[in-house]
Amino acid sequence: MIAALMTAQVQRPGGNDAFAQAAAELRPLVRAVIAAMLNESREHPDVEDCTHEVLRRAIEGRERLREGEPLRPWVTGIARHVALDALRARKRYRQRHVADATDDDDGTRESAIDRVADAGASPLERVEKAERDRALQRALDTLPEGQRNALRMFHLEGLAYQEISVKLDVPLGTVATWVTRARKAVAAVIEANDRQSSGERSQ
Amino acid sequence: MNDDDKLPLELLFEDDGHLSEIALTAIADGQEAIVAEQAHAHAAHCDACIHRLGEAALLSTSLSDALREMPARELAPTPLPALAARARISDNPLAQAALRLPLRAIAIGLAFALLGALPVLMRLPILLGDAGVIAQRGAPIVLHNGIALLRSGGGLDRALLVLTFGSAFVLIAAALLVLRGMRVSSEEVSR
Repeated sequence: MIAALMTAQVQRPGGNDAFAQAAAELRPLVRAVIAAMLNESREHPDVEDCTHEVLRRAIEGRERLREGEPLRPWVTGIARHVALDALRARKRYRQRHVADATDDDDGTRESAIDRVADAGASPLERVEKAERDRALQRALDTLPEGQRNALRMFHLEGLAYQEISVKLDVPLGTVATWVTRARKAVAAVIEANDRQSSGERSQ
Repeated sequence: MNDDDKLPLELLFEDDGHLSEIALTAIADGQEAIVAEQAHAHAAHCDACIHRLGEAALLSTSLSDALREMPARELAPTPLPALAARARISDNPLAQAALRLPLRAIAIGLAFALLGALPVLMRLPILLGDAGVIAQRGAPIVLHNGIALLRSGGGLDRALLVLTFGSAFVLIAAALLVLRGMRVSSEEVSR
């Protein structure tokens, strides 16, 4: 069942019903993202509520999905926002109701790469974003050419793994391995950069 | 889709039975069709893998956003001249082609030079006998005779003289072309 639901490759479906169906097919992925961010089981009520909320927002806000923009990352982005809202709500609740709620850790599972994509509004955030961009560039520079090309083709050219495999004339497994390793390497460099930045700020 | 279009099973599972990073990344990237059914079945029931799948999806989406926000040149494909410069020239047909001499131009230049030198070559045995005199007086005599021939307006002699100087000019032009071609080629390879 879940495999069938997750087989959808959606690029801005046509009518309202088609869009709703396409969004619903992403439910397992949305649930996984929410569960990961809330650090809860997939059957936790908050995970279920957030998943419903994501799909509701996606269907109601489908006009904001630009022409040609893939549905999956767009919905994932909504899921991330919904999960962050839920985490903030939890934190507020704890602060109100738990006397010793002085711990800043709100359980957020947000990775360094998540923070990379956040557009900073304040000057400080803009400086931090510029630093992260430089770190990202350094990380990309260190990648072997195959990994770098695979990452570019997938993320920027929107090619599927099989198309990349044909274009680079390498087996499908190699493409999957390259994308996975490249992404982890980039994430590791960004994490290290963020740790270093936060260390410098705390000194 | 046949089995060749799917990821090998050994790439999909870790030794502990959970899904591998590769499987999770592929599913998170929407490449479910290349992932075997066993992996999907596991992802549907394993909380640990669902969490990792969520993290993989977040990582994928966030990296896409971050890369799109960066200038295009950051992930631009490696340009061909850079590849040629990196590759060893002896192993690289492109670099070899860039360094190849313009043989046709050289051949034409040499043919003209040979044609121009033909009258002299025909008298070579005589000239060689007087090599000492030629060495001593050659340049002034050639200059003097050349000027005299130009002034006399003689038919065949003048034509031969023009042919000689014309051939020399073509030869020099061919040499310049060769030098220029070699310089351009070396610049392209080193770029």
